Amino acid sequence: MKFPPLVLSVLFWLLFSYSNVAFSKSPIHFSSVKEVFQNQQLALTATVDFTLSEEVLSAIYHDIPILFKTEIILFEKSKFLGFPIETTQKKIEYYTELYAYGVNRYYVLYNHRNHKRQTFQTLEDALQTLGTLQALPVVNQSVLLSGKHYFLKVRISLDRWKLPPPLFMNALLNPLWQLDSGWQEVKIQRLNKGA
Amino acid sequence: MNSGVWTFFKQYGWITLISSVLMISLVIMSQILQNASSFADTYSSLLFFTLAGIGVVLFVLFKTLWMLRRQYKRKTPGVKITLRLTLASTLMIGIPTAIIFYFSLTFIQQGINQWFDVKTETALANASALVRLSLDNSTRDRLKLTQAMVNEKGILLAASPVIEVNRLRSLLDAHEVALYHSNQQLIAFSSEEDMTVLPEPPGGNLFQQIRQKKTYAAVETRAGLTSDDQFIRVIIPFSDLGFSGTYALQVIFLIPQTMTVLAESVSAASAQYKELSYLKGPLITSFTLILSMVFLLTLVTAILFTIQAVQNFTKPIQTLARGTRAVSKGDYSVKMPIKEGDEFGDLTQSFNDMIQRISQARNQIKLGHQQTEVQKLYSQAIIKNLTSGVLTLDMNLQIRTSNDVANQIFNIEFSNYIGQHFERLLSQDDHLPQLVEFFAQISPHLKQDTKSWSLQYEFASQYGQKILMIHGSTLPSMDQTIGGYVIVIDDITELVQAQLNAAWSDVARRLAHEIKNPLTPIQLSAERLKFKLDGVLEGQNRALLGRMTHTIIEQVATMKNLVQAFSDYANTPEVLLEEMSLNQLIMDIAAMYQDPTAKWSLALELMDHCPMILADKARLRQLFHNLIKNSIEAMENTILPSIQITTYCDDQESVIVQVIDNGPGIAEEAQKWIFEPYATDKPKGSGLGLAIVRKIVEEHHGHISLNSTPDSDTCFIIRFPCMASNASTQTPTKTKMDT
Repeated sequence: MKFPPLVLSVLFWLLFSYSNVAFSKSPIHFSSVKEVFQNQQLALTATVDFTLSEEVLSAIYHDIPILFKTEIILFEKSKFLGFPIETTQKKIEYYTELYAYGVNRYYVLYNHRNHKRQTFQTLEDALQTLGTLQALPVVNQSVLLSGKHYFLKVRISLDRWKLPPPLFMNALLNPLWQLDSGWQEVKIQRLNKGA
Repeated sequence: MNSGVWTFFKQYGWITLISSVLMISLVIMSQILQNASSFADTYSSLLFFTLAGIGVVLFVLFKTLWMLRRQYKRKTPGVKITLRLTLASTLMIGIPTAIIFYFSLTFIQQGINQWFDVKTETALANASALVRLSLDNSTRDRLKLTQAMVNEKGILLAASPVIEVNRLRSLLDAHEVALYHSNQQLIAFSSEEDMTVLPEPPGGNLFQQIRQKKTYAAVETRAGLTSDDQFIRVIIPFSDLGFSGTYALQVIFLIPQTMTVLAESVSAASAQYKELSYLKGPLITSFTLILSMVFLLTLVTAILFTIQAVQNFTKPIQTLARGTRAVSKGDYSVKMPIKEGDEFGDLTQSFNDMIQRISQARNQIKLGHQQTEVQKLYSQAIIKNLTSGVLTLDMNLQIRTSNDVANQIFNIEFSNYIGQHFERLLSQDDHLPQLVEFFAQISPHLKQDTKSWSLQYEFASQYGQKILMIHGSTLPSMDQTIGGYVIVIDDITELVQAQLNAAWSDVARRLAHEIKNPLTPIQLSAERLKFKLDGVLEGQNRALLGRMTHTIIEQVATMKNLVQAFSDYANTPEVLLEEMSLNQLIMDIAAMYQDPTAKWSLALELMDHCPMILADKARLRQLFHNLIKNSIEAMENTILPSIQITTYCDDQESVIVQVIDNGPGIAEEAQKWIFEPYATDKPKGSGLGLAIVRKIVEEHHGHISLNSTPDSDTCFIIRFPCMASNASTQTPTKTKMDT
């Protein structure tokens, strides 16, 4: 089967672009992830560093709202007939909108889950707050059974599908808009202690 | 549903439906791009749906084109005109659409670019800066004022916070005053609004700042009843006298609604402008994409519509082409269905009528041809069974037909030379000498183009001399010119011979009658004269009388013999045919000529197992006597004269007898009349010997010929039909035949 040169060129360009993104440091990465038990609750504490690309920064500076999707999954790992299986116990998913606002160029974080809005004078502050998950309750501790292997995994990504329509095609094709931390997994170690 | 509407829907409905849905989708996408944010979430879905739809339409187009390509290769009727009209329509639609596309694209680019200019951008930036400056000043003033109040009343505030926060709120004209401990614990607060609702505490990061003794003043926003409310948050950290704790005084100053609205409008305008400015490139790209899809969809839909329309248009042509193809293959029973009521329907009807008429005409021609064939076979049968030879030539003198009799006469199979030029045939084939003289005879008549002519022609065949009566006539052609020649050849040899025989018989009978009657009185008168005068005369007179009367009596006797011979020739007895052995008869006759004193000799060379023949022994005996006698007389002056009689068979049908003498031979001229009666070059001969021989041969359905040249051997060749061939025509037992 023969491909026309143009198709080969496009494929090569896409591969090259994505491979560059893949091999460079991820623009969103977790610096720390740990589980905490607080008030009979299993909570997640994590710190995320954001290194936004020029494209994304430029969009934010130009009052383009950016939506970040945060996914937290509590799951149990077990084996069935020797095959590893994962059973999801709890899934939390919410969106946080980041946008510049007003003549004073405040940066606002709006949490779509609890509808809480926070204003920041600098983008760095806003990103820092966005990247700080401070004892986020996940599930009641009573749900967790001793002897089981529970894991928490978390992921933060830019939701390209929620971008303004004109930007959609660019974001879809441009790897600089591929902001995704990937799944960060942590094993719940202190189950017995907490219990 | 009406069948016409259903047909239309079946042919155009699906493409109309898909195109309409895709067009609606593109319109919605276009509206979304133009700030219809309520459908923004569906943009991506619509985009993929439209791309997929266009992919489907393109697939349908390629499939249709592929089908047309296959039809073109198969040379399906109407495909060429379909392709030609499709190409023309594509160009007619495509070129204007492409031009509109180009200008639309240009207008979009120019239009979007024209949204933005430096002045507007600067004005909006300045307006924003102005608002920001105003708010900053206000914030700074409130900070200074609050700081001054804290410096003045900080101790009292720490001591009696409830009273002081109220007072402070009045003094500062603030919306809300709240006192916090650095550990984020609310100590006291005062608000213009409901006091039952606790104030919103500063964020954790602000308390961090408080602990570091840093002040905070900023314009913040919170959700209001109708719109976002802007306020100035001022936080001043301070300590009590004993420095036992660190406090934070938070003062909320509401920004006037009018200012907020104005600031909001400036901010919104600036934000929208900036957003649009940023999205300029993607917007152009998106609009270009949508416009391209509209262009592509329009073009593809138009092409598909055109192909379908042209195929519908050419369907009657295909039908007619199918019909003509069937007709070209000889199927005249084809009847094309008439589906249209338009001119094509009329054309198809005319075609059907035409084919019907052609079919009828063809059947008539076929019938006529069959009749012609029958007529031809009939004519051929007649010609074949004619007793005359028939030879036809075309106008170029090429042989066209012949019959068996012609073949027999010339001993040639004319059918082998059909289509060959007569004259050229003679020049090429040396084995046809018998035709050379024949063509030389008829050629002048052919060249003269005489309508009908006839001639008598003597022809030397291998069986002897033949007399042919040739009648010629021209054959008419369609254009009234000469279309060829027909030559009828009658072998009248036997007829002429019979006429001659009859004539000679009549002559012989008359001679016998006229001469025989006076001979007896002459003889008696001569004998009476001798008797009466023999005693009267004496001497020389008596001797003279004796010689004279002897001569008279002798000549009368000779004349009686001659008359008898004539009488015998004229009154031929009936032939009594019986089965006999020719060899035996020849041996019997030869025995009679065994004379040791004779100076000539007779030798036999007879074939073993010679077939039996049907013959009259007495007549054959006379035949051989005449031949042997003829040879002996011919060899009077020959030294060591000899006669040889030979029998043999050259085929299964005849027995051949050769009588050969070594006499002086016969001159070529004499060979023509040698078998005629009264034809002799001998002084004493009656001239009837060989004539009788030929007569006997003919009575036995045989054939005699002569092979001789002067000063060489003379060979009489007699051919008798043998029993096997005779049996087919003759009764095997004794047969009485009239000659």
